[in-house]
Amino acid sequence: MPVANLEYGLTFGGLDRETVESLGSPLARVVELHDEVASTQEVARGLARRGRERAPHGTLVVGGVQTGGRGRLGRAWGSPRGGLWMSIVLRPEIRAEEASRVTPSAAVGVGKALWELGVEARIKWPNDLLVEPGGRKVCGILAESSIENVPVASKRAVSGDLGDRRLDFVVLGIGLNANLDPGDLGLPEHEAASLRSELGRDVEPLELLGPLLSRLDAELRRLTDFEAVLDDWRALNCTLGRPVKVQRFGETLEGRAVDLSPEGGLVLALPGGERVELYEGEVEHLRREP
Amino acid sequence: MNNGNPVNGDPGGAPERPLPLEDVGRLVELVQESGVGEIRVRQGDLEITVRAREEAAAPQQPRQVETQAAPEPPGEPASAENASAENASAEAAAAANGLHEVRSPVVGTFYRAPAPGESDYVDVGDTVREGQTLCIVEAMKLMNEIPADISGEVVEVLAENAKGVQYDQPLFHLRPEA
Repeated sequence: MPVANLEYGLTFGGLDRETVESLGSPLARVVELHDEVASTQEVARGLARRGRERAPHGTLVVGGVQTGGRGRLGRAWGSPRGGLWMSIVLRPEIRAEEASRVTPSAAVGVGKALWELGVEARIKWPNDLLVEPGGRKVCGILAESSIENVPVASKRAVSGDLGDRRLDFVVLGIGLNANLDPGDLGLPEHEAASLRSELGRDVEPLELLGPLLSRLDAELRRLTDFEAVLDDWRALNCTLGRPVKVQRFGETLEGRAVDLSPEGGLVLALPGGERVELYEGEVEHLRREP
Repeated sequence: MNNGNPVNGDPGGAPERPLPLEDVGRLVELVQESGVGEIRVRQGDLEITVRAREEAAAPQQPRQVETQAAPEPPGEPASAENASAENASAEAAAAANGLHEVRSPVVGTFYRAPAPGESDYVDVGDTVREGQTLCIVEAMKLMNEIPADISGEVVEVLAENAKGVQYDQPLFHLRPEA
C-alpha cells in the first residue's frame, strides 16, 4: 500500500463515525466507514438484504478506497484515495415502477451541493455531473433496487395492478472525485475533473458531506412530487437543446435532446421529425447538428 | 427433466404412481408443440386427456385438462390496459398452460446477467425460489433486480437480452412448484 495522502488515512478525509452521525442527517442514521473496501455498493446491498432493522433508510457506507469499485453493468470505476465513494440504503415510500426517479433526483441533489461549494456542475442525462470546459465528469451515480414480493394469492386479488410490487430498498451509489487529481483516476485528463481541479484546493470532509446529504435528502423527499424535481433537473442540465448521439440496443440514434418525459425519460427529436422517449442508452453530446 | 415419458411409454409397464403436476404441464406442452388435437394418458386408474382448443378460442375457455389430478387453471387476471394485445394473448396462453408470468414493473433494458461476461441469473429448466433474482431491468441507471414472485421452474425467457422492455411486458414463464 502506498503511504501517500496519509491525512486521508481512514476513509474519506479521515472521517470517523461519530462525526458523520453528528450531522444528524436522515441519510446517515447508520454509518459504516471502511478504510478500504471492495465496493461500497456491495457492502450496502448486503446490509440492506439483512432487513430494515439492520439497515434502515439512511444506512450510509463510505469507503476510503474501493478496490473493486464498479459503474454501470459492472464496469470498473477507479476509486483511489481522496474521492468520496459512498452508498446509501434508501427505503422510499414509492411504487416499484417509480424507483428510477431516484437517480435523476440524486443528480439534482449532488448538483445543488456542488454549486453550494462553488463548483458549477451540470447534469448530463440522466445523472452524470459534468463541469466545463469540455464536459469533464466529476461525479457518477448509479443505483440498484430490490423489489419486495407479496404473496401470490393477494396479488391475484388486485388483478393486473403492479402496485403490489413494493420497493424493498434502493442502494444509491455516488462516486465523487473530491480531493484527488483527475490523473489519479486512470482516465484521460480531458474526461475527468475533481473538486480539487475545479476549486484549486481540497475540501474539508464535512464541508462536502454536510451539504451533500442535506441536498440529497431534500430531493429524495420529493420523489412523489417528481415534476418539481424535474424542473430543477432542467435548470441544472447540460443535455437538453443539444444535438446528441445515443447508443442503445446495439444501434445508434442521433437527434436533438428536446425535453424530459414525465418520468424523466429523454425525449429525442430525430432528423425526420419523429420523437422517441429514451430510458436507457449512452448519451454523447455532439457539437454539431446531426 | 422427467424420469420417463408418460406419453410414449407403455402404460402397462409404467410404475403405479400419481402423475405429478409437472407431467401434466409437460402434456399440455406436448399438445401445443406437436399440433395434435388430443393426448390421452392412462396410468393405473388415472386417465388424463389433454385437448387443444380452437386457435382463436376465448381466454376464458382454457385448454381442457380432464382428470382428478388436473391442476386448477390459475385464472390469471386480464392484462393491464397498457399491455399490448400480443401480451394479452400470450398471457391467456400462459394461463391456459398453468404457467405463471413474471412481468416487468418498469420500462427499461432487460439484462439476463449482472454484468457482461457473467453467467445469466437463470436459464430455462432452472428451479427458482420465490424472491430469487431472475434478471435486471435498467432504467435511467437504476438497475432493478426483478425477483421471482413464485417458486417454480423457468419454462421460457420471453424477452431478449440487452433489448428494451415495456411496462408490464412478460419476461419469463414459470411453472409453479407443485
